[in-house]
Amino acid sequence: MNDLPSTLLHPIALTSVLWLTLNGITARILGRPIGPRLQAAWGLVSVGLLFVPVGPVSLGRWVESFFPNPSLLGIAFALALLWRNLTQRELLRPADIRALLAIAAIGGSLLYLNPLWGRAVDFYYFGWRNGPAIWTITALALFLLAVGNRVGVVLTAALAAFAMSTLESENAWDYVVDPLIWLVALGTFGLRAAAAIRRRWTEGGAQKAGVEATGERRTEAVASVPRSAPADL
Amino acid sequence: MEPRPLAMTKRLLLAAVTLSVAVAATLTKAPEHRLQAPDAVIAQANPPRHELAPETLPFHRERWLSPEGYTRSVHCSMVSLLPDGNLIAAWYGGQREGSGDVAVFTARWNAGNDVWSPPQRVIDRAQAEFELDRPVKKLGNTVVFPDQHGTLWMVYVSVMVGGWSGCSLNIKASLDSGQTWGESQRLSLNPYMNLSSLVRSRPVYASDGRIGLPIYHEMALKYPQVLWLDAEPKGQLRSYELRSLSAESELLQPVLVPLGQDRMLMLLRDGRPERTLRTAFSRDNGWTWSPTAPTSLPNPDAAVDAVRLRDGRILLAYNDATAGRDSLRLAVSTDAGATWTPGPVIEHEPKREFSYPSIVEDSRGRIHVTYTWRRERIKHVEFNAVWLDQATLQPRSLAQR
Repeated sequence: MNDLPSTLLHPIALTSVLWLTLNGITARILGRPIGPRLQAAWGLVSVGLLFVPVGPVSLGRWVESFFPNPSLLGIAFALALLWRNLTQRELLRPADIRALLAIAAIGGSLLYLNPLWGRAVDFYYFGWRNGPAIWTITALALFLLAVGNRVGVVLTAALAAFAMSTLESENAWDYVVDPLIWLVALGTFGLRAAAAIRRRWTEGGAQKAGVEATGERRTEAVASVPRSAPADL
Repeated sequence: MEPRPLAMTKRLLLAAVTLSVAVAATLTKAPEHRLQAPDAVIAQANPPRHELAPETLPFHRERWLSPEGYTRSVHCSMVSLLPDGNLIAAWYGGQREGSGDVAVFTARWNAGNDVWSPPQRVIDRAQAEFELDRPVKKLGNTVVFPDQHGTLWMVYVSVMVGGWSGCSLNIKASLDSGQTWGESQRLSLNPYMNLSSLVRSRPVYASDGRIGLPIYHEMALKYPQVLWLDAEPKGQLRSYELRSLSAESELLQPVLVPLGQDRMLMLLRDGRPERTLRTAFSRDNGWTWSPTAPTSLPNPDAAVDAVRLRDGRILLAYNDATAGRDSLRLAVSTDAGATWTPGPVIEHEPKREFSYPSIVEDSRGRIHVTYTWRRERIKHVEFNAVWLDQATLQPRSLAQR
């Protein structure tokens, strides 16, 4: 059995995730950021783990078997986190990250939840051959580049990877988004939404407590609370 | 430290690169098919073949396709007509369905000497692991079919994790009508980490050479799909694409029957509590489908098969019950699947399983049905239209066999 990965994309994705995980766990245990030597050691360990045998194949090949199409958005996200972890510098700006996660959340929801909508429009079908997906991704990449967003470069890389058939899939959408980055995006936005709701709830509660404490009814303060805040519900 | 926004010159340069890559992707990938055009495809039940005059005397015969005790359990046979007029059947067998020792077998029926060859073990779990270069837990449903170039294709299910909903499809080709086979290639068919694509039924053939293989998805929601394969000569797969069909959920194992003039009939196994065989119709070669409608026939959540006979009727093999697979029966439709007349019972024995029928009509007009017999053997029933007509008129007496 051939134990080599099909492309470089798989080992890059898996090494990044393993490296980040080892760094994160160690920092959590130590209670402080870890030094460059230990980070480098974990990098080597991460690469070595790819060759650990799992049954008849290596771990790298085993993971690739179950997760054959890591998307370029997912790889870019992992690399950006890893770069920040290693260098304390940002590869992507917050606006880039927001765009990346938004595309993953919206694109993934259209693709993965399509069967729930009755399949009247088959979004995944548009990704086969030289179908509409190519120019949809192109238009999105050009728009992002026009506003100076680096995710445009990621989408261009996804197009190039699709043109060269670097993944197992022959569907263009699989080069842009995968279920893992979709779940990460949904989780991130979900947590942010929950935090925003909690903040408003807390602010509303504090204002209410302030009114009760002073015994004054300050209508202008209540009116300034947004209508959607839990205090109003 | 946050990186600076992209400079204008970089943006322009990257935009030019993006456009170049898009053009390259458009040129390197196969052109998109325009299935909407009514005359773009269709849709023969089988590739062109030499046909003989129909028989005038009734003919009916039963025999075994798999030898007794060859494997402890067998299931899911599929019979296909080869361009030379012979038949090939495929099924899987092992200790039990889903066990690790299950292998895919084929046998050939030679029209000249009228016998089935001994089973040929085509692929097992270990061989699949080697060819696919990935872990394989078990093998399952398999179909075989020829293309217009004379290549014989096999599509089979392999599972890496979990049950059947965790499986994917693989394809291999034979240039010598199934004597030897090339290496397996995994088909990447859905965005769900390529899990849960299954196959059961024979394909339809487009006039442009493409092959439309009905498959289905089983994870969370069950629904039918058509896998369009674009085959080149010498067993090369040029490209493939998948289209989900807008049928309701929990309907699976689609059977496609070309009706001519761009019309197509789809029959669906019913996984819902209604337990009724359902049909849908297409007027544009399977691109769009009507909502499914129940037939007058029951379906105990079991596979069916149907074929359009040379006289225009549609012959269906199905389990005649809403629960259990102990009765296997034929039915005929003379109005393109709108209504069905139950015909002769092929098998009936309480608490036994007779299931997963597969039908094909050969060049003499003989009809061949293979099916799972008690999960112990694959049985082959052969008859002609004259026998079918007589048996359909007196189905009850035949049911007492």
